[in-house]
Amino acid sequence: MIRLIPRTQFGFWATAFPLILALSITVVVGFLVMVAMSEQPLSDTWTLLTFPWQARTASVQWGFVLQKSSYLAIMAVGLSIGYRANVWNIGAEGQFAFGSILAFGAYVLFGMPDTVWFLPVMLLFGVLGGVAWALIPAALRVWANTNELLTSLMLVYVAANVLNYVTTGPWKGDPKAGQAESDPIHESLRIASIIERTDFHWGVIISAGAILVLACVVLFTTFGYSLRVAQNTPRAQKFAGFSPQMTVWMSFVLSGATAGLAGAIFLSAETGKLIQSENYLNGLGFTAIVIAFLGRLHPIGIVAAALLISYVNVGATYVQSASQVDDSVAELVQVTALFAVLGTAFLSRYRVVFGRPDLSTEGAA
Amino acid sequence: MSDLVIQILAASMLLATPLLLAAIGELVVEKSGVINLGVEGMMLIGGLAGFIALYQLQTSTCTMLIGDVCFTAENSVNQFQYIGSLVVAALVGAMAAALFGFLTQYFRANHIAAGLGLTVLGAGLSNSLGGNFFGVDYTAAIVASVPPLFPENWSEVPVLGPLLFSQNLLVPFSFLMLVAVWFFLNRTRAGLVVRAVGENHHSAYALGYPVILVRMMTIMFGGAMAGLAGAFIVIAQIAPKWTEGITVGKGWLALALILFATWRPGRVLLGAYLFGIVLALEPRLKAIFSNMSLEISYFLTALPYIVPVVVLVLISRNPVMIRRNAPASLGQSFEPRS
Amino acid sequence: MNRVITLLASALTFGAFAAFPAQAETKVGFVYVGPPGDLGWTYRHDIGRQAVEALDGISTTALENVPEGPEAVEAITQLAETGHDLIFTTSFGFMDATNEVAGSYPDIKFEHATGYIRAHPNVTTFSARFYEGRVVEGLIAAHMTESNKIGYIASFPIPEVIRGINAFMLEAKQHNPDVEVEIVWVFTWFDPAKEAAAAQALIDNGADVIVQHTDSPAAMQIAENAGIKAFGQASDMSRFGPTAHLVSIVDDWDSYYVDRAIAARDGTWEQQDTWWGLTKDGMGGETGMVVMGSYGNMPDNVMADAKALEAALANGERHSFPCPVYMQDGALADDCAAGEAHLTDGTLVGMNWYIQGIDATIPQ
Repeated sequence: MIRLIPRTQFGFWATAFPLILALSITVVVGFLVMVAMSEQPLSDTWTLLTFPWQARTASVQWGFVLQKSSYLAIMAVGLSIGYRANVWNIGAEGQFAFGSILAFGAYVLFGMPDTVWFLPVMLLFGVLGGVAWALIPAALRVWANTNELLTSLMLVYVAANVLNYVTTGPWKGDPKAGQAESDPIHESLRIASIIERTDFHWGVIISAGAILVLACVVLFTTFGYSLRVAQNTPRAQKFAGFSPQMTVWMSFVLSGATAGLAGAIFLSAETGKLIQSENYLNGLGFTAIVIAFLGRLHPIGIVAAALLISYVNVGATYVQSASQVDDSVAELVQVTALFAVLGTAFLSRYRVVFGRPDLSTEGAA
Repeated sequence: MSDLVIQILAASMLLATPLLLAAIGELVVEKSGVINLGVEGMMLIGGLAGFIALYQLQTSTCTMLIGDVCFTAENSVNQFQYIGSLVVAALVGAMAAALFGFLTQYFRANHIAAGLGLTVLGAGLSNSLGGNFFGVDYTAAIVASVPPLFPENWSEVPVLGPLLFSQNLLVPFSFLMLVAVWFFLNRTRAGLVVRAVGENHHSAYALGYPVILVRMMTIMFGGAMAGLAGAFIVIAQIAPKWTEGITVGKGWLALALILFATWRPGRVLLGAYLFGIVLALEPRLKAIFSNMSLEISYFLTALPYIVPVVVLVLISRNPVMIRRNAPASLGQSFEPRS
Repeated sequence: MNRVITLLASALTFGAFAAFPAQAETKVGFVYVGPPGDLGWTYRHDIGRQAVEALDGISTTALENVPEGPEAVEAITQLAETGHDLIFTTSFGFMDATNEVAGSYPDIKFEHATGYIRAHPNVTTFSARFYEGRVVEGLIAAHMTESNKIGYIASFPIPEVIRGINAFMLEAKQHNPDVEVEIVWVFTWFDPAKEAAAAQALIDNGADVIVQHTDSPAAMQIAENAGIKAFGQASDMSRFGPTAHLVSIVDDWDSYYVDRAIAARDGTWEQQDTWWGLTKDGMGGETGMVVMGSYGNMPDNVMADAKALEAALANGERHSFPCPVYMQDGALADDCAAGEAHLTDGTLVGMNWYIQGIDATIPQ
C-alpha cells in the first residue's frame, strides 16, 4: 500500500529531491531515445553532452546557447507570472509577432531614422505591441468572461496573418525576394554581437536585465506575493489588496511586455526585417510555455531550464551535422524532461508512505 | 446556386468531421472535470498510427508491390482494412491520452502543462516515427484510397448523393457518436456518475464513486476519439498520405468548439459545421472574387481563427449559461481529503 | 565492363593518394527546408544529394526541416563547424543566413538555391527557369480544357510564381483565345488540406484543368477523384493521379550538384550565378535543371505538339516570353518597346505584373 501524505514542513530536500529524480529520469530516457535513433549511441551521446569542446569554435556554440535561452527565459518568466495565478496566456507567440510588427512600424512611422539612438524607441514599441496584443484576451476575460486560454491561442494565428499582410502589402520590400519580406532596417539599428562572429549579442544582456527586474517583482514585492497566494486561494488574494481582475490585467501586461520585447530584440538582432510568418515565427513562444513549467514557475528554475533545453537543442543540431542523428532527439528529450518534472512535482507537496496507515506517525507529522 | 450550396456543404462535411470527432471526445473529458489540451498531439500520433496500420494491412495482402507502393486492381483498400486501421488509430490515441491521465490523475500534475506537453510530444514523436524509424519512410509511402460506404453510382443521386452517399464511413459515425454521447451523458446512470465527478469530485468521492478511475476512462475515450479524428485527416480527408504536422491547428479548434458549445453535444455539432463552412467558403470566395484586395484576402485566411474568438465572446457574455453547463471542477486535480 | 574500369581507376587513385599524407574526404552538407518525404521540392534536392554521395572521395550530410529565417543560421553554422567543405542551402529563405555564415567561414564554400545575393566570394547562387515548363503546360491546358476555365493554385505573390502564371497564360492564349484562368492564393507552400480545399473550390467553380505552384500532391489527388486533369509540381506526381496527370515540371539538381561537388573536391570551385532551364545553355546542350516528367492522359497530337514545344524551348528556337508581350492594361512591355526579341532576364527576375488576358489583380 502506497499513500501520499501532505507535507507540513518544506525543507531543502522537498524541492531538490523531485528535481534530481526528474533529471535522472530525463537522462535515462534521453539515452534510450539516443540508442533507438543512433547507430553509435555512446559516442553520439558524448558529442551531445560535450559539443562546445568538440566544435571548431567553442564561442560560437556558447553564443547559440545563450541567445536561444535568452528568448525562452524572458518569455517564460513573463508567462509564469500569470500561470502562478491561474491566468493562462498561451499566445506568447502572437505577442512576440506583434512586438516585432510594432517595432518595425515605429521605424517606418518615424521616417526610418539611421541612428543607434532610435533603438530604445524600437524596443519600447516592441513592448507596447506585445502588451497591446495581450490586452485583447485580458479585456475579453475581464469584461466578457471569455476563456483567455483559447482566445490568446487563436490570436497567434491572427497575428501571423497580420505579419503576412504587412510583408506582402504595405511594407513589402525587394520585389525580387522569393518570400514575403520587408526592407531591412538600417545597419545602425541592428543589435551588435558582444563577441565577434557569435550570436552572443547585447539583446541577451537586455533580456537578462529584464528577467532580473521581473524576478525581483515576483519574489520580493506584495504584488508578487499576492500572485503566489492566488494560485492556491483566490480569496486570500483579496486580503492582499488585489482584485482578481487586476491579477488578470497585470499577468497579461507583463507576459505581453516580455514577449513583445523578445520580438523587438529578435527583429533587431536576428533578422533585421520582417518576414512572412512561417519563416519568421519558429515556435519560441510555445517552447517558452514548456520552459515555464520546466522551471516550476520560479525565475531561477526558468533560467536554468532555458539554458539546459537550449544546450540540448543546439547540441542536437550539432550531432545531426556531425553524424546524421535526427534532431527530433531534442524535442523528445524536452518532452521527457517536462513530463518528468510534472510527474515528480507532487513529491515536493507530499511524502510517499509505504505500508499500512499508521495514525500515530501521521499525527506527529 | 443550389449547386454551390451543396458543394459548400459537401466540402464542409469533410472539414467538420475531424473537428466533430475530436470535440465529442474532449466534451466527455471536460464533463468529468479534466481539461486535456493535448488534442492536437493525440490527433497526430493517432493519425500516424492509423496510416501505418493501413499501409501494413495493405502491403501484407498486396499482390503487386513496386517499391514501397502497392498497386491493386480496384485502387482502393477494402472496408475491413480501413476499419482495422481506425481501430489502431483509436487505440494509440487512447494510449497517448493514458500517459496524460497517469500524470494528471495519479501524479497530480497540472492539467494545462501536461496537455501542452502531450501536444509537443505528439508532434515530436510522430515526426520521428513517421520518418525512417521503422525501416519505411512513411512520408513517402503511398496507400490506395479508402472505399466509399455506399455503391459508387449512388453518388449521382441529386442532393443526397454528394452529401450522404459519397461520404466516408467516419462521417455517419461522427453523427452516431454524437447521439450516443448525448444519450450516455443525459440518460444513463454511468453518464450521471461522469457528470457528478466533474461537478464536485469531493462529493462524488464521498458517495463512493471511483473519481480517478472514471477520469482515466473519459481521458482515454477522448484520446481514442482524437486518434480517429487524426486518422480521418490523414487517411480520408484527401487521400491517404502522411505528412509531418498535417493537422495544422485542428486540435485547438476542437477545443474552442467545446467552449463555443457550452458543453452541449447539439451545439458541438452546430459549431463544427459552422467552422467547416467558414473553412470551405474561404477558397471559393477567393476563386469567385479574383480582384479581392489584399486586406480582405488575409482577413478571410484569418477568419477561421477570428470567428471562434467572436463567438466565444458572445457566448461567454451570458455567464448563466456557462455556469449551468460548465463542469465546476474543470481542471482541478483531485486530492482526497484526509 | 565499365564498372571494372571504375573499380580499377578508383583503386589506382586510392593507391596514388596513399603515397601522400592521408587526403581527407570532401564533406558536402545540405540544408533542407522540408522532409525528403514531401515528394516535391526537398525530395528532388535529396535525389541530387544521393548523386553526390555516389562520387568518389565525397561524403554528404543533410539537415532536414530547417526553418527558414534566423534559425537557419544555426543549422548552416553547425555544418560549417563540423568540417564540411561545401554547403548547399536549398530554399530562398536561407539567403540571409547563408551570406551571414559565409562571412564568418571564408574557407568554406556555400551554394544557395534560388537566391540573388552573393555578399562574399565564397557564395554562389543557382536557380532554375521553371517557367519554361509552364509554357509547355499552357499549350497542353489550352487544348485539354473544355470549360475554358483553368484553376491555378498559387502560393505567394512573388516574381517566381507570377512569372509562372504569365508564361502559362501567354502560351495558352496563343492556342485558345477563350481560355481563362482563376487564381487562388493560398499563402503557403505546403499545407495539404488547404491546397486540397483550393483545388476543390476551383473545380466546383467550373475549372477542368488544375495547375499548382505549391508543393504537396493534394491537388493532384483531388483532381483524380473529380475526374479532371492536373499538372504536377517539383517531382513526378503521376502516381497520385493515374488518370488525371498530364505532365509534371520536375526539378533536376543532380548534374549541377555533381559538377559543383567535383569542383570543390578538385579545388576548381569558383563563385558563379547559374540559371539553367530545360538545358544548361538554353541552346540544346546538356539537360539543365528542369525536366518534363511523364506526359500522359492527352491525345497523341497534343502530346506531339507539347514535346515539339519543349524541344524548341530547350534548343533556343523559342523563348518563353517572345515579343510582343502586352501588360494587363494593354501597354507593350518595356523590353519589347525597347526592341528586344523577348523579355530580358532582368525583367523576369523582378516580374510583378500580369500579362494581358489575365482578369485578376495581384494581391499586394
